[in-house]
Amino acid sequence: MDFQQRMQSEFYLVHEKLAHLLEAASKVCYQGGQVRGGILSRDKALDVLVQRLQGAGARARGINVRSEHSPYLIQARTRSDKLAPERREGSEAFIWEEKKQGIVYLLSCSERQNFERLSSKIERYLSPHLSRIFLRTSEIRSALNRLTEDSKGLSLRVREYTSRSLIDDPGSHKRVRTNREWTDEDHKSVFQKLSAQREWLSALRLDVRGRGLASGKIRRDSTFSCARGFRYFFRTVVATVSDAVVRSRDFLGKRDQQSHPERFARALKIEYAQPVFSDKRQNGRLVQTLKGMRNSALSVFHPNPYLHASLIDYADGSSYEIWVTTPTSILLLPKRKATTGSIERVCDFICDKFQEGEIKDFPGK
Amino acid sequence: MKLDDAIAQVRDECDNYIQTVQALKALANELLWDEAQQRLVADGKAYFGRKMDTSSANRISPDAQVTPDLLVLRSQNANYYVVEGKLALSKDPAKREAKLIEIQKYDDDFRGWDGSQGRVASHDIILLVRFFHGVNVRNQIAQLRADKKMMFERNFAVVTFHRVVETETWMSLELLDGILRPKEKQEKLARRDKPIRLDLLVANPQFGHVKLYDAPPPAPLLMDQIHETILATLPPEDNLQLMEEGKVEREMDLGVLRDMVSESFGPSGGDDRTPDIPKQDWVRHAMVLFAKLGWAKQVGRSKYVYEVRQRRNPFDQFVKLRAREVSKTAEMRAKVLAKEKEKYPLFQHLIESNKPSKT
Repeated sequence: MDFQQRMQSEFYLVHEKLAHLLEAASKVCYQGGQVRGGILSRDKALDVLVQRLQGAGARARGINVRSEHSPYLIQARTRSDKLAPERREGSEAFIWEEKKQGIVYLLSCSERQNFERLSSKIERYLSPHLSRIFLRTSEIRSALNRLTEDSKGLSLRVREYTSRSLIDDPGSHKRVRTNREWTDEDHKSVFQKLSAQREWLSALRLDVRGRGLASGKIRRDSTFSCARGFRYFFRTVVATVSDAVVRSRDFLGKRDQQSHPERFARALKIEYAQPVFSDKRQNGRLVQTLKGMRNSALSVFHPNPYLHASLIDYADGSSYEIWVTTPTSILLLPKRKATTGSIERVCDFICDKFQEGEIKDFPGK
Repeated sequence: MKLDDAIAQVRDECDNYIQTVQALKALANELLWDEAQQRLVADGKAYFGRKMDTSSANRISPDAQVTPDLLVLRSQNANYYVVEGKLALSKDPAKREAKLIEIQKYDDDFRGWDGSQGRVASHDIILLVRFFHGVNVRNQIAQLRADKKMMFERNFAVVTFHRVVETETWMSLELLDGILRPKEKQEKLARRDKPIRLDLLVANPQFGHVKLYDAPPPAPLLMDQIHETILATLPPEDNLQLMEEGKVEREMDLGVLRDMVSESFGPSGGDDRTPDIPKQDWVRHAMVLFAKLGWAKQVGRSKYVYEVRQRRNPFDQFVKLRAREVSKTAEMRAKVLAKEKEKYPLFQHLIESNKPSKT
């Protein structure tokens, strides 16, 4: 049994209490391993969702719940090789809920790829009751600022970050570049730099220094990983990101017609500081970007000089109208059905793959 | 007709329909706008196609049910409006005349207004036309009124609309002729100085979702709406099956499907005066086209099985299907004309002039 296997076998024991699980996670980090997790939004009690995971449908899809109480240990077949069953891969993760906030946490010490597959599999099976929340640069910045303001003596040092920015060269086939930097800077100066260079954040690796020491990574898809000081990282960074997740979910959720008795949909605007759409070619670029969204279909009714399109998210049947009628914004109007998970996906896709903007209520209050 | 030309024509038809609905919404927005408060009036309501009962004194349709394209109520100020949009008017005045005369059916003491009595003291009648039809329509109406072929006991006005695309996109309305209450509204519309931002119209919470009015939409638009509605109403287990197996079949009754599309895109009202929009025939026709496309099959008199798949660019596929039909019809018509010309060489000029108008 190699080191990784030994570590996993100790971690994936059935833990009676959450505290025991967090202790086990700290131990993994102490031994040089990594713990990965995700923060998801739920609109039904976790016990109800777990019941579904215990059903025959879930079993047929290779999902098993190995414990009877929270934190539940979930096992999933993440890759099936029909020709060579011995090459089948699986992954495990613990799941528990934060009732007050309406969120659930996933925690695992499996490889990143396996953890992501397991997470996607569970999300898909429990859709639309379990959804991934995506955070924009400004939301991550505000969350981290709140953390340092509220915790005396705590400092956040950015050790590595991945960001995206637009390529201005009109001859380029790519419009968005990915940047990765290794550094040791205060988080505020990194966010200032991102803002000055019109970049948006993909992921951030931080050292947390204060009453304890921790090191870990957060991503815009609300997943995290920790390599050192798990308890401290969880209590500080993960807790503050969870608050941001709740804010984002509460802001973007329940905007479709069916969430409102009068069938009113609540529109959103993705607003840019610069007049992005003064150049009408950007309409075409937005169309091309949206056509690249997985499990979706785009219908373009009017491409130029203003854009009017309709987007279907096949993942759960959500749909939207998309309008560009001003140079500085994209209007997103949810239709009959637009789940929280889907609105999050669409907004994140536009912000990450086209250009990140500020998401606002429209019309504003 | 080449397929590309037919595609462009079908896309234009769709855009015209969308623009018409936007124009009706723009007018509703304008009539409900409170200048002093700079917001929509709290007591205002807009109905897109409410069924109204005419009186026995109605000059055109006595004791019948009519469905004006738009009804706007501002109960507090006792301002009521009946709006009829005539967007597809012929260039030929003779063909236009019948359509214009028909508007007099709205000059009546209707029953069916929102409220306990169902009647109001009076209402204004508005004819909404495209900007480029405006002057011709105004002149023709003036002539019809002079000839006593057209008369109104109530206020009657002609309002034009057009889309203005500059840095931002706007809907512009202009009162071309007639009287409207209150006077400030009439003056504002006559000045044409405050167009409405399209995004505000689109996101209007009261009627933003309305995409259909009392005229059949081009088939690709309705097909797109049906496709979307079916997806939006799939239960989660069907969504899961669609994601895992790439396909799920759903049996649909035309009546149920019509109701679902109406709930998503039709005018809301909530009572028995809410119009049946879309009409079942429109939905039936769309389903026939889905069957042609291989996306659905008929399994009963009014039952279809719709095969839900992750279709890419559905609207483009609907447009192409319709364009092929248009192109085929045009080709057949050209062949018939050619034969007729060959048969009656001396009457060629008459055969040419018998071509249907584009409008």
